[in-house]
Amino acid sequence: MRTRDDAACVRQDRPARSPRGLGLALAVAALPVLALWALNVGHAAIPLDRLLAAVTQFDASREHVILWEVRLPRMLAGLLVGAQLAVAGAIMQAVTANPLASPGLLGINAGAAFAVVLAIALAGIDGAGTLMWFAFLGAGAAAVTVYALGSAGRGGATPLKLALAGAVLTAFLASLTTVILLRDQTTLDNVRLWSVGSLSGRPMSAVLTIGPWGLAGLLGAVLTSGPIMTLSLGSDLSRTLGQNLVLWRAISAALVVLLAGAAVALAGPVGFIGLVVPHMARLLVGPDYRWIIAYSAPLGAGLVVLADTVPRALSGVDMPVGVTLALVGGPVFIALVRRQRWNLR
Amino acid sequence: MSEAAGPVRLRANAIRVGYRGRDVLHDLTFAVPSYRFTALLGPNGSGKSTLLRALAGLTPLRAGEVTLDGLAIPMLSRRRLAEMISLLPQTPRAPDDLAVADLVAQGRYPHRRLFTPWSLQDQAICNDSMRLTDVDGLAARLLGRLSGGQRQRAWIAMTLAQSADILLLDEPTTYLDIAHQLDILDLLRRLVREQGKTIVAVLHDINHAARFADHICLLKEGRIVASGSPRDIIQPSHLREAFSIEATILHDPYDGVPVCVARK
Amino acid sequence: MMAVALPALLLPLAALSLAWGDSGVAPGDIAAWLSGDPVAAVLVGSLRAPRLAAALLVGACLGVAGAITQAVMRNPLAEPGLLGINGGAGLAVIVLIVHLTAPTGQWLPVAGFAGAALAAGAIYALSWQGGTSSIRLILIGIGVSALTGAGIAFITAFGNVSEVQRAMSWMAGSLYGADWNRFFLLLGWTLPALAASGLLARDLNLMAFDDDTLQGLGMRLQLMRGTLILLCTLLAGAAVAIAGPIAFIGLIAPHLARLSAKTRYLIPITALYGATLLLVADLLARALMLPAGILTPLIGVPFVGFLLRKQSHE
Repeated sequence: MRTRDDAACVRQDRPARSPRGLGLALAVAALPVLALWALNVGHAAIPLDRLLAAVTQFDASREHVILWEVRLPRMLAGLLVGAQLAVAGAIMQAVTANPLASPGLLGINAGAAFAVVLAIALAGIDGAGTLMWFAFLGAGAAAVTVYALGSAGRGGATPLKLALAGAVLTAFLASLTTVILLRDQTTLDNVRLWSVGSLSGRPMSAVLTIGPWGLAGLLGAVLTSGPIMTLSLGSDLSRTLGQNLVLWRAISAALVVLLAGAAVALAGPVGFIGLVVPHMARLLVGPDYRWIIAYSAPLGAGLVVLADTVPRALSGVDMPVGVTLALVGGPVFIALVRRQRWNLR
Repeated sequence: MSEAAGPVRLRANAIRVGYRGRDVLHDLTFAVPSYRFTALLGPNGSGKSTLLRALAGLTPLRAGEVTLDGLAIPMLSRRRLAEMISLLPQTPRAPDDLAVADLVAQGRYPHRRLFTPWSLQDQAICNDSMRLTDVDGLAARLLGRLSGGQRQRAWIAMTLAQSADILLLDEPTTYLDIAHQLDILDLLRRLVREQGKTIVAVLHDINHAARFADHICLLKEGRIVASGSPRDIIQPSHLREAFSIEATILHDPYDGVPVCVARK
Repeated sequence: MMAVALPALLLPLAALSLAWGDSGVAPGDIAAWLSGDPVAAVLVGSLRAPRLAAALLVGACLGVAGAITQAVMRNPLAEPGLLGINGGAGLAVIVLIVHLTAPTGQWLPVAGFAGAALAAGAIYALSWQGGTSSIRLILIGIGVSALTGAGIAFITAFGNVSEVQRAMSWMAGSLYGADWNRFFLLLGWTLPALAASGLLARDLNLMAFDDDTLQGLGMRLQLMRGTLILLCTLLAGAAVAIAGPIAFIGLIAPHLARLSAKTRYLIPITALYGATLLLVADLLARALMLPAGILTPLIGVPFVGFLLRKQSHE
């Protein structure tokens, strides 16, 4: 399926180098505009001049506090989470050679959810700042378990075995999570908004502590996008080209854990970005994963901020971004599938 | 080689086939010679496989019709059609853990109804098919454990077990070494001579077609550029037109069969 | 051999299920019930026996539905949930419980079945483009599941918390509420569907071949695919209506059957395996006081581990 698409893309006139660079510059340049709009929209709109005033002459007024303590961290979290999930998805799709791979496949979301529920139920911990670390830890532990399970047996961690192990661990952790939630209504009440994926109520301190991890992951992804591109050509070819398959698979898995783990810690399990954005990037720039990864970051960031802001702007409703994305992403995905005449003959 | 072919049974009348707005076959008319081995030759993308699939009734037609015994194919039920035409696709797929004998037994599918038990006759036909294709020694082996050539022969055995009069084969000799290629082509020729089958096969090797086929149909860009006996078709002018190659035609000193040597 | 061993295993498990109550295991209960003791008649005849019957029926339905899904999707890891069954049923039930807080008890199975059927129908219709294909069914299934999942997530996040918890306990999947009325109602339509699946076993085995070969063999592919998806919806929909979504039985039972039986008897053996697996899960669930649906992944984990090992050795 993928190879056929690739062949088609290669055969078509490839977009020339400079338009791809220009497009990337445009996508990045659009982000600040979007970000300003996100800061503007809310219960009370804050016009541009007053936004500026909050930076230059902060006066601790209600408006300025809302801006600094509510809207700014929310907007920053949206940018980070979107970029991280999209890039993590692109890496997953490149490494597994599977167009349906997304970070959730490694058990990251289920691990984070389980750890958060456990922390609330058993230790009575609350406060987004502390829970975040549990989510991060849970995501990492789940991914390490999946990797260990998936590399059992001969042949090491093949993409198929990883996907299987991820699906199994996800089902397992999800049912353990349900056991706890069925017995403990308070925990359910505390965790349910987090568990659908939402950006509201993230303190600035959380963004500042988790953000650097995600940024490090993004930087790492950009730096290693060359070898990841080689990895996407398939195990035989990449070995023939002299690539150390085991090493680079492990490195890309570590990057995915860093990116998706930091994202789930900030926003909870947000679906669809990791699946759909790399496909959008591929439609724009063709099958070269170096460009797909580069494009995925601004596209993902913009899409999450958009999905978080548009419902607020239209109806004043504070929809969790995870729900909005699935409601919009589902039909888009179905339309994409119907447009591709896969396997029709 | 007797010249009196029977009445034409399978016929394509001015068919037009296209994928995504691009026509692959342009108003193509072709009468399949009955009781003959016909080879479809042509460069990649010339529409050979598409023509074969259209003859099997697997492709929606934009215009024209394919008829079997004078009836348009859509008038026949899928099962009735399968009793008379069997098809070997280019890349058939089956589970790797299927045994060869079980694969071949699936060829009896169109002959069995919901409650029909497996009969001795079914078994005899399957055994014959496996013997003819030289896979009877592999009956218990799993498909996933076969070499490419063995697997291809197992598939041909399944096609034979369907005991249809007309066989449509898409590149039946790919994956085979030269000895097995000759075996299969010889088998196809014998099926035509001894059992009165009608066979249409997509082939790649011009010399194999020249040696084994009774009739050659040369395609280019969705049109038939020449159709006739090997001696008439294997000519420098036809090959230049279809493949854009310069070829010298020699004749095998042993039996006079034309041999094509491509120079550029 | 398995055809003998499985029922032999099933009988003592069934007896255990009948004899096990609040006061521990009491084999005397069964004897008392058979001799007409009125207390035992209520205890065993109207509480434990329907639960046992439901476990067997639901397990069989899930197993067979799984075999059908794996064949139609051409994917050994498919299970009926991919056809939107669980997502559709879950969304319908959570809407019913949280938004229409009417007398919901007897309507839950109806809503569950309706939701499952609607989702499966939507997936089939959206996959249709002059015919369906396996890959399109899987991909559209993922898209529709994401939509139903978003609906469930939204209601989970904003609904009344105790009603959400009630819906969650339904969505965990269990056999608590089984009674004879509901059982016989569902038996009425699942038995014909099970029988039809058994009759189509030959075609089911063939579905793993490619489209061209199937049609070349004379199969009316689209009709057969549609029929199989309908059967799968009836079976899995009935299972979800009785017990809520129960995972992994539909995935595991067909594999166990294939490991142990010739393909000709695949359907009945799959049904037996499904029934046995769910019965074991339900017994464990009663011992641990948990819903059975939560335990099936626990049974599934070692099994998939085994499949992984097997795959890596070949």
